[in-house]
Amino acid sequence: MSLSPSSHLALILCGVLLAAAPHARAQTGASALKPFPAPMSASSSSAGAAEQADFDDYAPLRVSDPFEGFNRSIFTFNDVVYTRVLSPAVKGYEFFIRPPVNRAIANFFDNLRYPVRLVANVAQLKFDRAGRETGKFVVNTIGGLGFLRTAERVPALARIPREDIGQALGFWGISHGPYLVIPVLGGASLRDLSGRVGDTVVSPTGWHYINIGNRDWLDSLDWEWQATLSVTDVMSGLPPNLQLYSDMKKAAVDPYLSVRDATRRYRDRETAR
Amino acid sequence: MQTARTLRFLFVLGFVAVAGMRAAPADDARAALVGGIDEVSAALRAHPSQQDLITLLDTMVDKHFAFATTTRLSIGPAWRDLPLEQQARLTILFSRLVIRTYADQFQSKNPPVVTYGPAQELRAGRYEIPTRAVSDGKTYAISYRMDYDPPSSRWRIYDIVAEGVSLIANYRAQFDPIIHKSGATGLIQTLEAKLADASAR
Repeated sequence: MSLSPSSHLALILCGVLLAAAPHARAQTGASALKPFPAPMSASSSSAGAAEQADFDDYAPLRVSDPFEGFNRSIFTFNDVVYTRVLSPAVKGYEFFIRPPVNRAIANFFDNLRYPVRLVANVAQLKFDRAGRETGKFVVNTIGGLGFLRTAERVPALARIPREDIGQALGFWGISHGPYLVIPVLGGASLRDLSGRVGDTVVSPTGWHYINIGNRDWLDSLDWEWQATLSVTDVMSGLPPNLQLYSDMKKAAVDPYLSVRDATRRYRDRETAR
Repeated sequence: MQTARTLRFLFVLGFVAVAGMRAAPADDARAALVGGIDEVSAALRAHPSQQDLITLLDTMVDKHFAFATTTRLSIGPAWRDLPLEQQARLTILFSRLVIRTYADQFQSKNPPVVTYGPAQELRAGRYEIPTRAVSDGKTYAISYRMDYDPPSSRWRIYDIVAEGVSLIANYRAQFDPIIHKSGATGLIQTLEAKLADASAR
């Protein structure tokens, strides 16, 4: 992401405005936010009514996708990038950096993104979770410099639902807005994309975009180190995501719709937690 | 006095019996799931080839999976108007696709370590059992939806919900536009093409 701070802010603003616009809400519909499965009536009289209720439980989500044609072409482009460029790159990376080592690296960057989770929790008034996240950060940082997940051994600090800024926007009633597929990064609703931009800004590795936090450690690094840091951050997170994408593609008769449905349901579940 | 005591005893007995009856289906559904997953895990520990795993899963299918229900719900209301031959064909093709997918995903991996939560009733006769599966150091929340099949007197899995994403709902999202556009015939062709493509892989 090489966007200037002002374009970051513009994107967030656009996202918030568009997602809050009444037409977007009408398209997304109430069903998009409906928890799954839908409430069921145990007193369905006839078998026909029970069967209809069954079908209704699994009714497809109404996802606002006004740019579907365009999104599908980016999806096809991304497929080539994932299978022809990133997968071989990840194989090469894994040849040098074995999966257990990579997990430690991924843990390190995940630990580094603690401010994102803190801000997202506080923004949703989830102060208890914000406190637990802080505890987790302290334990992981002291007990393994962020490379080990030491905090998982402490019951109160294990399995904290993961929060991000997209979820915080959802918490305050901002609807998804249109579904968009971005080159390389993949598909998300406008709300979640705006959230991701926010995550990048709040994350310590993104602090050079804006004038907050202590950026000296980052500025003091040569550009080679900064680039290595960014590439390692991205590469360490890639293997599981590429595997998931490949599994979904193999299973799907229409991978675009499969990924779109899964993305939305996954995000709605995360937001509801 | 004696009558009152007898009545009280009968009342308590009745209550216990009813409570026992109510608890039983949830426990049975859970036990059936644990048994099914144990069976698949035991098979995976032998690291079978992909083809062996597909054959093995095929033999377990009727025992543990309610594919007729899975297919019906994945297709939605259009199912009611389909002739029996098409329903049967769709069920066979869809179950093959799902089995192949799972065989692909699990082959060459160690079986995940699964912990089971308490069964929750969804609708009369349907239960959802939340589980946590730990595989390669990562934890996944996977819920299984179980349905009772009277002919075989078995509890069988009809839907799997991974991290909030239901298998049925995900396929329904893909099948709906195809059925809208080219009917069940179109869907049968799509599934056949997908399976042919997957076997060429």
